Amino acid sequence: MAFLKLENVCKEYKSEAGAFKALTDVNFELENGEFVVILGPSGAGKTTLLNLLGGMDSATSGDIILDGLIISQLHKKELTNYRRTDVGFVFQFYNLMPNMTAKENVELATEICKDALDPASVLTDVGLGERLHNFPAQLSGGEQQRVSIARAIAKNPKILLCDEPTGALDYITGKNILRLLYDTSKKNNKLVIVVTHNQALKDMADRVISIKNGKIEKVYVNKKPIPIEEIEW
Amino acid sequence: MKASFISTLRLFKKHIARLITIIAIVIVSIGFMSGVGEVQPTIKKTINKHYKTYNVSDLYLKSKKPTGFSTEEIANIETMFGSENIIKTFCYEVEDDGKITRIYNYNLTAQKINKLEILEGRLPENANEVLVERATDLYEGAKVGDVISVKNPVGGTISCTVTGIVQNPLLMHRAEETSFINQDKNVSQVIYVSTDLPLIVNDVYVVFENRTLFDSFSDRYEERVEQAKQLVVTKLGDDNVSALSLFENFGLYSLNSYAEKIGMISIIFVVFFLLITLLVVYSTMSRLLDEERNQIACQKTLGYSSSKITGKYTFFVFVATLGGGLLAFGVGQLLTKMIYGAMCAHYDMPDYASSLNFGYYLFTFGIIMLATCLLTFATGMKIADKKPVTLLLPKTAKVGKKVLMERIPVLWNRLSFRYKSTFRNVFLFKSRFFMTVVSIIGSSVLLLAGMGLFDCAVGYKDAVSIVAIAMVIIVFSAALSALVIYNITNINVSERNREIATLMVLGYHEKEVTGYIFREVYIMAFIGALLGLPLGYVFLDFVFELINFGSIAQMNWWTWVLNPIITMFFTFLATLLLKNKIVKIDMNASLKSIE
Ligand SMILES: Nc1ncnc2c1ncn2[C@@H]1O[C@H](COP(=O)(O)OP(=O)(O)OP(=O)(O)O)[C@@H](O)[C@H]1O
Ligand SMILES: [Mg+2]
Repeated sequence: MAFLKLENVCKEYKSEAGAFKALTDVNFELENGEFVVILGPSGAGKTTLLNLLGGMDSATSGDIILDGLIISQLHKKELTNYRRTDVGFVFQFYNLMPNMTAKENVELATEICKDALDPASVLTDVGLGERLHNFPAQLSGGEQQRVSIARAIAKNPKILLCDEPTGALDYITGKNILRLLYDTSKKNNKLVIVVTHNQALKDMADRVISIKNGKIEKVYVNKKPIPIEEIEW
Repeated sequence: MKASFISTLRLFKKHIARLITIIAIVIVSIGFMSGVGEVQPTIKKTINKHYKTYNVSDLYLKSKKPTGFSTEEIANIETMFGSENIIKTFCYEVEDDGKITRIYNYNLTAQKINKLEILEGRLPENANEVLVERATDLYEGAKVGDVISVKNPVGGTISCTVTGIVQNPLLMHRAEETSFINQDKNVSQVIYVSTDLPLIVNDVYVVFENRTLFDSFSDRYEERVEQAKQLVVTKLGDDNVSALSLFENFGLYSLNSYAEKIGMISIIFVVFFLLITLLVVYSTMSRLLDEERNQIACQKTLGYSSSKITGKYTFFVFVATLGGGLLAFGVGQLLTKMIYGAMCAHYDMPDYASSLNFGYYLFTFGIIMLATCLLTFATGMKIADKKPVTLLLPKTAKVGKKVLMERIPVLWNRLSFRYKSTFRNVFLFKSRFFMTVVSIIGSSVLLLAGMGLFDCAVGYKDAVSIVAIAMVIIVFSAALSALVIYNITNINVSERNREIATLMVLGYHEKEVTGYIFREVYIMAFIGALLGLPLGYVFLDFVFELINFGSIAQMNWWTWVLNPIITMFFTFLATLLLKNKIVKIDMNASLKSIE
């Protein structure tokens, strides 16, 4: 059985404005240790999909199974536990606690998981060994994003979900961040899923999923991923 | 036009909880200030009205001789005050079966001074008809038509029919009237017999020509009374006459002095309430403006002028204070009436005068509205005049600053980082910390003062009026305290929306998330509750001194324990009410944008 499996996943948003089907019959399977890129135009449903995978929202129908755990059937409290131990999330806008240092921001995540990694050494791994005691406001955007990646990695989760992690960063910094995420999937043998608008990134992925209008357009495996440094856009 | 209307509507909708809290705080505050403030003017007016309506005598001259005043003495008094300004009465008491009855003999039909209020029946028409003082806890009274036997001072009785039940304007106070024939006993019945010219005149009541001088025991009136007393004693001799004035009338004068005490208490509390209200409303608005920095930046980039942007927020506080102020009117009126009613239990006061006073209401309402609108506008302009780039950055405490505790590694390193963050949040935002703690201190000091006054007042038999006012202070400052704490907690939750969402994404459970936010509130409430005690001590000492009533020593020790417990209880209540607000936060929506 695949590490992550989605079966006929649908997501419908209901609001005063009416019901809106953001995802329709999504099916795919991913393996552990893969670096996966999700591509699609704005409004396609990428964030919606990532939120379902990360246990931040529940599917309207269908099943999501991660490493044997049926996420789509979890209740609120179980979902919280799932996020606590199994998911690492990286946002476009970092979402760090402003009044905590880099190290404390990572500790905030690790303090509540069982098999967490050492915050200081993870921060050193992402190149912030010298900045452990700096507050977010004292760090650049790229550095803040690295703190948020360190926070996700240090939890030692089963999957790492990144929603446009380089959206707010410049070209070089963006590339560095992607390298960091790619290495995480390989060195730590984690399933890393990155959502992006950037078509060029499909070349670096092990697997590419493209979505359009809430439907999977195609899923394919990249036989020979190209290192990020060699990709230009 | 339409767009700005919609955006104003959104602002109200988004911050509806804060709008309602400000309205509630203003209702409590102005309601209290006008309600309590108007008690003294109302009582003073009542006393004046009473004095004028019943033509209450200013002097009461009592002959010290059993035979009463001589014809010469009477003539003397008449030249001093004018014959039309006095009434001559014969007053005596008899003891029967251990009961003291006081009997007044004078011309009841003329009734020009100390007019008796006829509660029931009519005036007597012949010598065998009498009036009886109304029944109270102390006077036994009678019924119209009853036949009672009245003893003569020289012996013998006559049967008289009661034709009316009356109230003597000099007997305002519902307390014992000591008998003058037997100091150990109280008068238990008062009877009025109509006589055209009493044979003996031992009591003479005098009114001053100038009726406006009184003005509920004004200083000029006091001078006039002293002068008149002096005159009487010099002319008639100290051995022959004692001259009493309304200053010796326990009912009227003590009512007046209670009114004055209430007046002083209310001024102190009005000032205090006003300051706290201004602080709370202003800090609420300034924190709201900080929260709206992104919105303000956004509108600026769209080309809106600073004053137009700020106008929207000023309008918000205008509506809140206007709404609260208008609703407070009824609360204030009701409160004055209630306190007045409580005093009626002790004094025979005229019906609550419909001559309403609005001074305190208009004054406090005006100040609160004007000051908060101006302050909000000024603060808003300061923010809106900044560059949009600056506004888009979140407002953080000075980068890299450390709280005092961080310099004590032994303590600091032992704290879990969650507590570290809490302490930083609490102590690094200085003005926020200051405003929060001061408003908590303020409301708990008020509550303590109310409790202290109450403790002292219940010890006194005649302090009904102060018990009433203390209870009002307790209720209103408790309400203020609860609202202030709720408001602070609510603001804290709303400011931390994003952090709460981040914690939720990281897999923090509800309890852990609420704990993270509420710990700060608890710490600030705790600091405020504790500091409230010494400051409350100083404040109460000052209040007791000023009103010359009560003392710290008379207070119950447990008041000092109960007070901070109440503050913490309100904090607990606020967190309980706001727990759902945290739990309901949509983490996806909160983390979507920079906003
Ligand atoms: N809470 C919601 N209520 C209603 N509709 C929603 C909600 N969240 C998202 N949608 C709709 O669902 C669709 C998918 O949204 P989603 O955020 O997943 O898009 P996306 O692929 O991440 O787009 P982008 O690249 O712009 O971030 C959009 O049309 C959006 O309007
Ligand atoms: Mg998206």
